[in-house]
Amino acid sequence: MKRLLLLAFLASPAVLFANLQDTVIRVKSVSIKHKRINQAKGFKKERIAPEVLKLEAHTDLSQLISENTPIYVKNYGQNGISTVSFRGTNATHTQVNWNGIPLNSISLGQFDFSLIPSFLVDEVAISYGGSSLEHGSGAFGGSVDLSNGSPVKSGIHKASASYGSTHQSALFYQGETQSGAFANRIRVFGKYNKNDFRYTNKFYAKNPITGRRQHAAYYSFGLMNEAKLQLNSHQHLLLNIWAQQNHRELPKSFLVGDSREQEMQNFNLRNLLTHKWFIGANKWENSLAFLHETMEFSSRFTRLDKPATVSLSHSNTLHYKSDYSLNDLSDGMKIKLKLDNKYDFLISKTHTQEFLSRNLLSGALSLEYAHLDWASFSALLRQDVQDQELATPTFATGADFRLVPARNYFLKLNFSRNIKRPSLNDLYY
Amino acid sequence: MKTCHHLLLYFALATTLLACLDSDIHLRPVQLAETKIVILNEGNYTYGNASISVWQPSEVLQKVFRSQNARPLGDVAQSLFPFEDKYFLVINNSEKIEVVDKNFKSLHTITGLTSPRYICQINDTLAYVSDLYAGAISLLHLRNYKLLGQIKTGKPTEQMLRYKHKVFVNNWSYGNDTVQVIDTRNHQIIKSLKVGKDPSAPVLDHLNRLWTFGQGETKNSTLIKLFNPEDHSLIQELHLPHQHARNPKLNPAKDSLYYLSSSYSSGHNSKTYGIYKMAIKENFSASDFPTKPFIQQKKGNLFYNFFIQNDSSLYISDAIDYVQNGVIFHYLNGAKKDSARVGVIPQFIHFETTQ
Repeated sequence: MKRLLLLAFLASPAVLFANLQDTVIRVKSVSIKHKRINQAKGFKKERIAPEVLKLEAHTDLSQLISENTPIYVKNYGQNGISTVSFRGTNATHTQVNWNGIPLNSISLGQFDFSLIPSFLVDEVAISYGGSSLEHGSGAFGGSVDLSNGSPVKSGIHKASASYGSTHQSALFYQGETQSGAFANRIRVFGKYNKNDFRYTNKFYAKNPITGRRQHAAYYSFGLMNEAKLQLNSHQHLLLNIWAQQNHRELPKSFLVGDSREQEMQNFNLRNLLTHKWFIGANKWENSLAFLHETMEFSSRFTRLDKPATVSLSHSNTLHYKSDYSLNDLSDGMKIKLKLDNKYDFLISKTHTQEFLSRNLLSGALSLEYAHLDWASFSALLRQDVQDQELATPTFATGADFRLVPARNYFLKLNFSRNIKRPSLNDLYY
Repeated sequence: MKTCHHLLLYFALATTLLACLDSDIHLRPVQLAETKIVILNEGNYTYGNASISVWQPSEVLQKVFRSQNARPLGDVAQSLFPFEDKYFLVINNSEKIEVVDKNFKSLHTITGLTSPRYICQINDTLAYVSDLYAGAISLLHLRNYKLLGQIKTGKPTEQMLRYKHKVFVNNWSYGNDTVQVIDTRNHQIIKSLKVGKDPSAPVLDHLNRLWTFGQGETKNSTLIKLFNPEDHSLIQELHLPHQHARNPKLNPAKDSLYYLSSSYSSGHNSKTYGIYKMAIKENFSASDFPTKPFIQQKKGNLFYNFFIQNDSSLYISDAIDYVQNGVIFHYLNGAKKDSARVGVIPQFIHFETTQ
């Protein structure tokens, strides 16, 4: 009997495993899909993986780019701006596009990456050098292309919150709804940091000074709404509205002092209406964007009792964009036609009220040939007309050569010419 | 054994790297001569790179405060006030005054100021500290370094000139066009003289007339007003046909007036830019003004300030482009004698002589 029990005991795991082996576990099907990176042949373009973007949703774009790309991010310290530079060019040589619309400040010519939470974008792609010409001229270094995917899901709600030392807190919410041909996604966020950490300053005076950091607070809140209306199987309308308010107190360096000094406020309103039309290999996109920025810089220095506005400006851009592409002109050949009309106007109230404006018309033609197994080519020609004055044409050409058949060893060559228009600050201030 | 090799390699690398560190970290205390020229280098606003250079007979020493105290001087070194065996270094954007001995060893740091600019001694223990943004002049005890109170001015205050029981202080910048008169007996403002826009430091000539320069009056002229310091009456009004004529200074006999006329921007030049000199007469007309500079600003220079050592010797500070280290030029009887490379934006010179 004992032997029998022992046998039964020893055999039990085998029975159990046998049972397990017979069990069928049904795993839900998962489809992994992503649109192909739109990379012209011979050019360098890379994308920050969407998984990384999701993981770092709480960070700002400057941190995201700094940690995930080899590009140099220049951070001007606590509450200061962050700019991006490629291979030694300066921040105004980096173009930032949001769904194809340039976001660089029309007055400064650069873009502050510290203001944008990664949470607001669905894709971040980096175009190096001449490949940036696809979205416009002027980006000697390259471009950072931010984009939002269309809302498609229903009943998705995500929220997250964080709290840290120095009274920093953040709240993010994203919700998507769909009803028939209409889909909508809303993203809301708010961030605050009082930045009132304790310090001991041994360098300011003969004896060390201890205290709490003053006047270094920051807050930012914003809303982005993306609405999609599917008109039929070939065309849809997208409306993106992005409003954001930022307020930054600008503290002095500890070597300088720790008193109340300067603060800066920005309000941005970015509206983008896009009509997309697809039929066969044809794709035609028409976009109309209105971008507005109010920037106010205050300092106690102009008045003796309290901070007063030193600089106030309202920057506005009206941008019409039309992109047509035919992906199958002949075997392996693609053609793209682009037309942009951008009207910038700035109202500055720094000392006296000033109105400055300029109009930029730009057309581009690009061809791509990728039929051969061992080589592929691309070429883009762009012509700008600023305020009825014809600019020097710009171009970008590139080629990929497969060095070893059936192996992924490529030689990439590219050559481009670019022009840079001075910003309104460069021209008038 | 392999680990030992790695450790050795690590230490060799670390030693090499440490040897390559910026020499600033190893600044050593320096010995200063008794006779010397002290130059305050303003540095770039908000960069915290103000410094002190000392030009002594054998050498020019840089970053002297940092060498002596192992900490930086601060942001925007504005002026130096010598008092007995000490210097009071007014550090404008650091909102402090560093009190040092004549070897620049720190004795005390006076804090609690808003934007201090200049110090004017009133008596053995009391001084006024002008301020760009406080809207007040601070009263400073020169021996215990305590701030005793404020005189509300409601305007920015700059250089101060003491005359008997009065202090004349110019309200420079932001379009101000006044010189305020303070009674030092009760620390009250007793008069506000209307002068030209953005007035420079007031000076008192040998005929006992108070000169005020309104440098911001128009683009190509400067409004000069002469006052009687006793009853504050206007004596004469003159239009000097020079752009931004500023920083008026007198020779020791107070019978020659010097001033600087130039653009504030680097890269600009004109034959009319430079240091002007004119003899002081009782009555002036437009034809009495010099038409050519006594020392002309050459291409590539940016005259920022100048200081008169004696009747023949003059030192000019050159900010060049406000970025690189500046230069001090020494002129003797109008001819360049010597020069020295100093810190960024040299703007104040003090001549220390042994008695």
